[in-house]
Amino acid sequence: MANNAVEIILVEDNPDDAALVIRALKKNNLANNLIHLKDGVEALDFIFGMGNYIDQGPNDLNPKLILLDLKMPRINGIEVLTKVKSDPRTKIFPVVILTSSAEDPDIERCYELGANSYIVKPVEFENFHKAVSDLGLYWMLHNHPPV
Amino acid sequence: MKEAGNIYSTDERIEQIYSLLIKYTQGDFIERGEISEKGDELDAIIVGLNILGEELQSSGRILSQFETRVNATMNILLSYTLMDFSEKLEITGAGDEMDAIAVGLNTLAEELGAAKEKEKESIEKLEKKTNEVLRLNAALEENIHKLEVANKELEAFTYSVSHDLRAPLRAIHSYTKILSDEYLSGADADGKNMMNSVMRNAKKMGQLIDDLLAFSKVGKKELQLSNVDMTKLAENVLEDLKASMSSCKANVKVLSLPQANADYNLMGNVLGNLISNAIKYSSAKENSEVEIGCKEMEGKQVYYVKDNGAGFDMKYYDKLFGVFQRLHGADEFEGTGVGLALVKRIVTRHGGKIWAEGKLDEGATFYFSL
Repeated sequence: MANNAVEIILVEDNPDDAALVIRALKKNNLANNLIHLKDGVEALDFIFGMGNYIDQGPNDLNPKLILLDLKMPRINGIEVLTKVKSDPRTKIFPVVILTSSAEDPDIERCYELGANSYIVKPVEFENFHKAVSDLGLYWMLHNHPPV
Repeated sequence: MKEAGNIYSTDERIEQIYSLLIKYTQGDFIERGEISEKGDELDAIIVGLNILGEELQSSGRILSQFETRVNATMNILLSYTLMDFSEKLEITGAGDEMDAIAVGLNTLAEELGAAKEKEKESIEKLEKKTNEVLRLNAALEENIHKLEVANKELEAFTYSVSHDLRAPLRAIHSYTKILSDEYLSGADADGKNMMNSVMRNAKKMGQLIDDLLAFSKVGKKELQLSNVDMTKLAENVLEDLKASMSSCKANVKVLSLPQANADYNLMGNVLGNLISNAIKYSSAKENSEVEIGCKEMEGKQVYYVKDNGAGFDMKYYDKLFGVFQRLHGADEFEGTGVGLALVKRIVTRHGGKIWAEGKLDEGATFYFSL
């Protein structure tokens, strides 16, 4: 998949959660151009063209949605969000935060940093499936991304 | 010289005595010392010196015969002014003025020495007390620091609970659901029941985690007090509850309630828990009635939520408001056992009181004052 074809960047360290997100998006036929990055380091490498992705840069990207988990080893979601939203080349990318808890003290901070939305990953499958589906449909089909 | 404090502010008579002695040794016998009104040893010494001066002046003798004794006296005086009272003057037994002076000085030294000892003791005591206060203060500061650390750890713990305990539950629930729907849809009733049990339990644990988090949060957050329209709040809470329930058979009456000076969100939590309990525990009754009202008891406004449902045995009253304590089985009524503990914590934080009355199968009434 060419980088400029990537529509959804999923940054999630928990493989089970990631599989559920991908599954829910797939059911809605939204996961065709999705890349799954396993932590903040991989996310920053991919978005800013470092490490394994040295041959590309932010200018090659045009994602419709970044789904970003907060609690990840090494570089967490807040740090990724800060970098993405403070770089003029990437700050227009829509970022939706995935969090495990509505009690998360970081949610408010995410909005301050420029997050576009957030969803709480519920325990029940039905709710999780619905939340991810709604979110995917909203950002992929209804929302007009900045060009 | 009775007050211990005096030894530190050098008595000017000591200087006088000193300068008289110097003058007399130099053959100048004109000057006399001034006697104070105290009539103490120092005055006695000055009297002795004055007489000595008088005699020396009238006889025209120089002080040579007294020279050693005068020098010794001067040395002693010097050490006295330096707060050293250990040395004593020798009494020659001549019974002259110098002896009188020596006796006076020795007595003075004893008194001053004793006073100094006493002063030293009280200073040591004071130092001891000061050290004790300092030690207690340091211990207190350390405790405060420990508490701060513990509090931070607790916050990190809650954060961790909210995140890390949910993720495995999500996997358990979600993958069981996928299995049940897509791979094992042909399972028999037993198999389906088991898969439902797994999902129900995962969901319940999720609820437990949420309730516990809410419970721990109430202790941390500062109260935001305002005038709360309790009637309106109760009606709103009831509406929300009805919307979230599949059916509500109970006839719920909200009477007119006086305003309360309370935290709006937390009060909503209190009413929400009490009203949903009342509806839940009366759901098995044919004609279930729930009433939310207020009455004056012992001069205080007491809000109450009353139902005619399952009630409870007063025998177990002490367990009613405990965390994770339940008076009904999960097969009878669902619940995590956190609700009333949370309600009690909120009411207590408002400086209020909560109590209840119940009778098995006849209903329960929960009262709270703020």
